[in-house]
Amino acid sequence: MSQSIRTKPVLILLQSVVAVRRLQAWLGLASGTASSTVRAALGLVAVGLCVSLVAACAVFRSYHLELGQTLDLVSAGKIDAAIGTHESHAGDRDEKDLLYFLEKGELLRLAGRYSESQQAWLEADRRVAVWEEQARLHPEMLLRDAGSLLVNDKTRAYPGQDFEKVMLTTRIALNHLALGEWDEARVAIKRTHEREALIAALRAKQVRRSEQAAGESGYTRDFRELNGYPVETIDSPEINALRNSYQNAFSHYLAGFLYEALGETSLASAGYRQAIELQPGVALLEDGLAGLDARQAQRRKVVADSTVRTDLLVVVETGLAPARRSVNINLPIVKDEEVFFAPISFPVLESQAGPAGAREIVVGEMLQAEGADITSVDLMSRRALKDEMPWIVLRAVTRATVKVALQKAASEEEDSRTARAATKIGSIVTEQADERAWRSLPAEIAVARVRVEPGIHDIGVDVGGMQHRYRVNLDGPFAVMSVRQIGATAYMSISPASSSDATLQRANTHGDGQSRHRLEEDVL
Amino acid sequence: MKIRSIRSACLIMVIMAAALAGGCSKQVRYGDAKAVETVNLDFGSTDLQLIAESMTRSLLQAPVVANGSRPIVTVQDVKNKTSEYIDTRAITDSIRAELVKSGRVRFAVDEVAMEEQISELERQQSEYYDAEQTAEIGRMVGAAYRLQGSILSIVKQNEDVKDVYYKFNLQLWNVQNGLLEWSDEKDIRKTES
Repeated sequence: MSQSIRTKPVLILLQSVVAVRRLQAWLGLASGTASSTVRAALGLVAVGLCVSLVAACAVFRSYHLELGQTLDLVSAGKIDAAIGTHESHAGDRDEKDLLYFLEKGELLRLAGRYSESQQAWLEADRRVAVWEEQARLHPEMLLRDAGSLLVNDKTRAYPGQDFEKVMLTTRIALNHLALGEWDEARVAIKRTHEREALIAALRAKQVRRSEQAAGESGYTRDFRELNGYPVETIDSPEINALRNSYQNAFSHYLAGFLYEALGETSLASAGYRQAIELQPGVALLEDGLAGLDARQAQRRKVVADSTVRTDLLVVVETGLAPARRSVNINLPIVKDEEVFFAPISFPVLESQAGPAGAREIVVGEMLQAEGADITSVDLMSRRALKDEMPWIVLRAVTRATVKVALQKAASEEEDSRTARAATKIGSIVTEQADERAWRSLPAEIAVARVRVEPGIHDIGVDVGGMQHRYRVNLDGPFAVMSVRQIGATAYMSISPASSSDATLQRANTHGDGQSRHRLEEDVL
Repeated sequence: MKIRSIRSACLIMVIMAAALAGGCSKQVRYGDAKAVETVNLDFGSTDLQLIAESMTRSLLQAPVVANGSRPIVTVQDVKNKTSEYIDTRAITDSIRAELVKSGRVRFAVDEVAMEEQISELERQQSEYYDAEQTAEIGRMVGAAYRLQGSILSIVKQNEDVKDVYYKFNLQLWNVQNGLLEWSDEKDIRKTES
């Protein structure tokens, strides 16, 4: 498989055409003796085969398994090996897709290679920008895909989930902060809410269109009617409580913090307010808005005073975004004493959450703050799947109908027993749900905010019983520290308010956890 | 017959795909920066211009400005009480630019620019500057009036209609005695159906 993945698409297309010709000759169809129906059926199979092969064997690739190997290495703290594995799975394909760059950017960020991570994510961002442009000009194109209707959903170019697109620019902003580039982070944050607004407009249009289409056809697509599907994984009060799948409180709170740091209170207040609206009842978020004027007034008083305290935002990220796994159902249909199969596949989510329990921030020996959970990528992912399910069901049912029709067409021809069997097997093996998702995103994001005197501090971050301590030198009015717990390993980065003076040092780690951060050697 | 119809369907699909792909190409052109923008209901350039023009016109007619005393004003925050990312500094910058152009109002350095102002003053105290031409510390002029305000929005929507109402309020306060010398509002309503 890996060899065929690496073959150029044009070559694959030619090979497919030759293979289909040989199959036709072997079945005796090329001579003109076979019926037009069977040839038509094989023609359609050939089209599907070509589409799927041109899509670089996406039909049979299991993204779930491939990325699982990479993420196991990340959990074990072997980040460089994980990056190598990710690259080897991508191989030397000319066309690296959006997902490749999304995952690569995250892995490089964990490794503390922020500039390289930015390059990967900016490449991903360019692909999302193309999607945005297409979606804006021709939203109907997003719903149509011949390969998806003939073979399976994986033949579609991966467009990215809406929440992944929003998260992308948020994480680009975090990288900029890690590099001390606050003005550049502002650009990324501004793009985040502009992208959110565009997605909101597009989805509103799409919902209107789908309701119109459902009204005209009288066909309602409700995934709750699927027998055997674990409906509770995508239909729960927490999932339904989300306003939508793509907006998250963390992105907006980070926007508020960043605008506040840059002295833009009118924009900061909007960021904090949006965060509150998305995640109501969280004291930390409410304090962000309520205390904005007082904090700004305090800073103005000490504008020329170098001893201003540092407002430190601690971002604690845990776990991994849920994995999508394909569940296949082959419904037997008996007609005229012959069994046909209607293969249907659906994605099911598997949680990859990190350790539960409190997220506590200790400065020196004093407990300073408890982290507040403000964003769950796990829930957003479930909500995204729930919103997508009507279309997945529609495509799956359409495919199943086409595949049963092909089997019936093959069975009507007496001389084509082999073709009959091949059509049935082909119908079943090509049916797989789309398992692709940006898996290296964190499952949960919590934040805490503390104000500390400038200087060197031992900061402890307790993540569900795993304690990590870092020695950091804080200098300036604002800083962002990010700790990512994956498995037993914690990855840390800190954003200096003034990059030239920023230093950090690993102090020690308690519990079962290991710690990694961007500096390999102690610098203090 | 069936093959012919499938071929026809394929041909139609290819033509449609080509048409859609061709439709993706788009033109870029310059437009009138003052033209009315109605892309969506969000706060936009037309709203900014409407507010800035209305407030500038009104302020120039206020007695404290119209009496020709060229008052010194500093710009403070215009609070954004909406959930939209509205950069209210862009609004006050436009108002300030128009007032400065009128020659009837002078502006003192505001809080946002204070850090840069102090930094430049301190920089000039260096031995590299001609002491006779150096800006002296302690000679900055304080404002007699301060400009502050707020913008809020009320959004209502149902399945068919979305209505957004913006209220922009601006006030001119006397720093010495705390009196409100001038205030005005600009309301904007936009509806999408």
